[in-house]
Amino acid sequence: MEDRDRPLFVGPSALASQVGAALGREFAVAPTTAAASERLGERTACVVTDHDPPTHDCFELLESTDRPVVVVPTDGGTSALATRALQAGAATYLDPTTVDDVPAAVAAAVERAIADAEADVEARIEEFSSIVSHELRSPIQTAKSGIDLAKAQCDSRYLDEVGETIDRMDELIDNLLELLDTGETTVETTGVDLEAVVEAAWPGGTAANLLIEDELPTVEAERSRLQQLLENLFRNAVDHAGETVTVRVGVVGDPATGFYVADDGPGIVADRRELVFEYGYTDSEAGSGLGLAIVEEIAEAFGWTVTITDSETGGARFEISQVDIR
Amino acid sequence: MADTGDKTVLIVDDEEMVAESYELYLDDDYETIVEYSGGAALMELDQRAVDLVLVDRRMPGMSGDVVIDHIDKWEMDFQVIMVTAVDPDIDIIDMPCDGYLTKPVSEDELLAAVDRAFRIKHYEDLIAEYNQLSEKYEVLTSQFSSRELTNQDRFTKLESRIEEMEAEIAETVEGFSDSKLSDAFNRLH
Repeated sequence: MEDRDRPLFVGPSALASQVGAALGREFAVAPTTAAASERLGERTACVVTDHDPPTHDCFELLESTDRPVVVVPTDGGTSALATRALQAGAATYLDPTTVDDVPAAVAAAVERAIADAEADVEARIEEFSSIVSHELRSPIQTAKSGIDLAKAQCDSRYLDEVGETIDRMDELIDNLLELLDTGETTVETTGVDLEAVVEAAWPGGTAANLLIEDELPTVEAERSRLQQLLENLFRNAVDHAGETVTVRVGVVGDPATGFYVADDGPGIVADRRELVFEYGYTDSEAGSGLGLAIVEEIAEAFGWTVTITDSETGGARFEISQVDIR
Repeated sequence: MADTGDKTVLIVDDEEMVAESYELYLDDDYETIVEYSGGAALMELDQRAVDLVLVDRRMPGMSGDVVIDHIDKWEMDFQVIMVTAVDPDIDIIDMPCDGYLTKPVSEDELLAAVDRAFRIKHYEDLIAEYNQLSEKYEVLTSQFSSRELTNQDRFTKLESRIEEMEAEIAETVEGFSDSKLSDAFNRLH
């Protein structure tokens, strides 16, 4: 867990240690609310704060963050304070004088607050994704339909060009939606048969060849995102190397520590290998510049690393390592 | 599979241009009817026999979901394909439809989805008939000796028909362009 994802504790450091032990997760500790405000970032998982103004002021903190806040007045609270704190946006209010095991109770409140906040973010992403999906894909469909109807009535190269532009917009929207999906906060992994996912991800209707060179292992991943990662790598190979490309998939290391996807296309020159993972970078007119950025995003979500080298045939070889092999 | 020219497809989409393009894609192979609202589609279904309904999910007034719920309640025996701009979610498990397409839909995608839906229907019909004949075969072979049955012209025809149907079912399964679907049906069969 990165430091920026750690929960933040504003109050006595002894209690922070006890709650951290109960939670199985170390807290970053800020001695005062003012110090806490400086450390708050959008990746702070949760904030636990004492309320003893002016050193520890839960209301000042609630005003300065949108992260979930658990208020724990260590000297005991009042019902008036509880009401005010919850009205001001606290996720939970916990009076430590009302529970037997304070660290365990605070840890449980933190876990709940983090889970609720993640569920809230996912719901908002899903809603946004649904709106983007409908509001952008529907007019794309209408435009494509119009082009096809017009083509049936007259012959013009302009119609083909507009059609191709619409197809690129469609691909861009797909990539944006994939990106929203990738940005979801939780990744639930399980053992996934890599070979089955490779076969499912291989694009239909292409003349390109897929060669699975080794017996592929079961890997710890989330199937849908792994498929998306492979689809993007395969699409990248076909887009850059053409329909005659041969794509090889095999394992890295003995025993396996990862896998690779290699092609016999033109390859990627060394000084561009970092750039291709940046959002918006593309060297093809039809590319959206999002496909490989999404690959890296997904790999990072699984704790994997992606590196690019030359394949044996001079094409590009994407090596995915630090994979949890089952 | 049987000739597709006698199959009728009802297209339901509130976007006139979209509905007309679907009509254009399907016109060479199927009889088509176009309606621009869920209500009009249900009235059409009440009056005419169709083989497949292609329905947009989000329409003003009566949505595609409501249209296919009515079709399900009325126990109408035809294929339904839902077309929508929204990626499928877990709720499609309970949706009484035989196919799901995400917009924008190309001519090839639409033709493939319609062909697949008709092939599935054909497969289901074949299996239903095959099960009926197999049941009769089982009853007769348990009732009579093989010597008694060998000379029965109608029983010989039944055996031939079962063999023919087995070949036809295998051929139908092989005809699915999607190899995963073929594998699934092969396992079932």
